[in-house]
Amino acid sequence: METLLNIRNISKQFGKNTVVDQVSFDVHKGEILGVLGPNGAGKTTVIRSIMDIIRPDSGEIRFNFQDNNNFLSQIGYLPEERGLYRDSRVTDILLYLAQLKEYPRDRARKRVLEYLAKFDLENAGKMKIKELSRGMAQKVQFIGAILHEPAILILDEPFSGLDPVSQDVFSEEIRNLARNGVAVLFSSHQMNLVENLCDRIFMIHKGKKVLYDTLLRIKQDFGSFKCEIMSEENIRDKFINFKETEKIEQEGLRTTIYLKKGVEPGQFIQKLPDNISIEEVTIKRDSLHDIFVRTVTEN
Amino acid sequence: MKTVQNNTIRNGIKVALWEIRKLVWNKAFIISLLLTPVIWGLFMGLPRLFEKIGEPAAAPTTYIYIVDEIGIYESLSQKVSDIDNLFLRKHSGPIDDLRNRIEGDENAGYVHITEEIFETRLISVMTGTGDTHIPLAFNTRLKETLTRYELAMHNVEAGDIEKIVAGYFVSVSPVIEESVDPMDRVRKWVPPIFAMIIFFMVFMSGMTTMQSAISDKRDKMIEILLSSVSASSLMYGKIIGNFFAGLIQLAVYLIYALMFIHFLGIPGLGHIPVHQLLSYIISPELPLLLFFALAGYLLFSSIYAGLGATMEDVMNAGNFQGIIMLLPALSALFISPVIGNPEGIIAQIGSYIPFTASIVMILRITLIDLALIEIVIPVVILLASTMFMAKLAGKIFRTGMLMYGKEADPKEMWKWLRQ
Ligand SMILES: Nc1ncnc2c1ncn2[C@@H]1O[C@H](COP(=O)(O)OP(=O)(O)OP(=O)(O)O)[C@@H](O)[C@H]1O
Ligand SMILES: [Mg+2]
Repeated sequence: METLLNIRNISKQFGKNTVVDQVSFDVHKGEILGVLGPNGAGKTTVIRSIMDIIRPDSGEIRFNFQDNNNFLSQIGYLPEERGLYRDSRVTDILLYLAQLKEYPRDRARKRVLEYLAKFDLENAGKMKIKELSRGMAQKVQFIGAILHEPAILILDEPFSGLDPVSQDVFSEEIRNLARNGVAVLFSSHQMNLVENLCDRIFMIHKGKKVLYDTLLRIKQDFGSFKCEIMSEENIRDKFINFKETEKIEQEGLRTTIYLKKGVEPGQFIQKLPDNISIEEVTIKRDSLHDIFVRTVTEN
Repeated sequence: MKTVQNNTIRNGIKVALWEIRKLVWNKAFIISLLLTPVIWGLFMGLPRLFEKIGEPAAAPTTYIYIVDEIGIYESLSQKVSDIDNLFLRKHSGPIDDLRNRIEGDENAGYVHITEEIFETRLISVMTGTGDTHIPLAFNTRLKETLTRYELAMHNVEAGDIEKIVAGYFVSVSPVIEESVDPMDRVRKWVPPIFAMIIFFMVFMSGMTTMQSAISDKRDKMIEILLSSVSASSLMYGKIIGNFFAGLIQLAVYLIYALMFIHFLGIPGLGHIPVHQLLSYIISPELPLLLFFALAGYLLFSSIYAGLGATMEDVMNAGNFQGIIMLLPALSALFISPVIGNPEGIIAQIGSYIPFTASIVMILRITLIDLALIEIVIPVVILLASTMFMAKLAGKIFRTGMLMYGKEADPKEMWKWLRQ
């Protein structure tokens, strides 16, 4: 596997706060790596360090491109701080950004039209940024990050502030790019999106690594099972003495029974009491959301 | 290493072109360029317009009847034909009729011209009322016409008559001033005015450079830009771009000004052909003047670019920034003393202070012949401090641009400089 970006033991302090603490990870060609973490975990600090906007106190960041001469033009970047020249026109800005990345102008022109159409912005080309809605401007900024066909794409919270339809469009495009060999690194705390999108996950909390693996393995290793039962009775008490249960949550008609680690769903189903009325029952693994919340609260 | 430098320059040029486009290719700028001559015209036309509006009640048309016994009516009426609101009429009938006719008429008067006038040397203009307005010019022209008539009577030749009537022109000038050609005065002032205009424009460009740095921050463009170009490409691109945008503006104004001079002349000097004016600009001192203008520009726009990077907006500039922002105004304090005494102590001090050297030296070079050493030292000082300031600004620029929502105080900036 070709690794486009190595990050080794980077640390950063702001004053006395250690905001990033010995973080290491790699980003491979054609994969999507999600950097997850709660607010203030240090995601943006890591990303800004990669982009050389913040200088880490220690550690090493290395890009491995075939042509290392002009490496800035092989990176696409969507910063957390959203914005573009308010008084300039969409097409003008996009062409300017492509030009700064040394991308040929005629190709850029063509791709601008394609992407504007793809993101439902056909008529926005001549509009000024200040005339766009926030989400529209974010799409333009995203186009700016990918227009020049970068080898690696670094996105800080690309989905924040987008409606579900636009989120899907972004996800689809990111998947597309990865399929074509682009290495994608993005940060988020929106677990549903991460779960659908990432190949691998780097979870950071208080500046430290807490998880770093493929999505599948993380779910295998950390995701225990949970059983959701829809019932009109109050069935909570019936499970209280089960040694397999970790905790029980009740919300309206739905009771969620979290199984302890290592407990197989089959074992649990056999023990279901037969004197309760069940409308619906589902068994699934913990979602990334559960893992995230648990990891964060445990630490 | 070489490719990196090439990139810096190439990217700087791209940034510069974008800045020029942003400044020059927008409605506000184009409209202001087109509107400027209209506004100039208004400013120059308005006072006259006000005069006109204020006048009519005070200056109604006056009729003056001429009772002519010596035959000067024709030449007199020709002479006064350009006086506004004045009409002459010839009267040939009894004087009493005339007196009756104009009595009480505020807009009428008469003059009785007889041979007697040449003895008494007194001309009486009789008016209808005490308030009747007789333009002063009429009196002058009347005197002139009578003088001509009298000279002709004494058989003086026509050419001599003109000379005598024109009188004498007394001029006062010091002995050393050899040339009396007023064009020399123009020639002397064209280069400094030209250089001062450039300096003024670059001062304005410095401001727009600062504005541009601030707007990159405000519009949150900076991280995106720095993911494509280096901070120094960005800064120098801005400085150069805004300089050329200013130059374009200057060129347009200059064309307006030249057209103005070409068609209307310079007040007091009259018509001057444009090509002659241009030939004055190309003087041997020009390269030196341009050097001081340009170095001054680089010095100030480095300061302004660095300053812009530390501010959220111009209105909220801190005290420290405010003081630095006013540095160029220091030059203004020197202008009058230096013109008054280009070799004095103030002029010399001003030449050695980098922030004032540009203006002071531009003035001194055009006003007097400086010894070589008096030129070399300011050149070296200015060059060194410009280079130093550009480096300093480069350091502040990057860090400042990446600070969001924070104003930098002097202590903070000092920290960046030592990084
Ligand atoms: N310029 C700075 N100066 C001081 N502290 C900072 C600075 N930037 C970030 N921090 C601190 O570093 C920590 C991590 O911030 P960071 O922006 O990296 O978090 P994040 O994971 O991106 O959070 P979010 O999900 O809210 O974007 C925070 O505690 C923040 O206060
Ligand atoms: Mg963040």
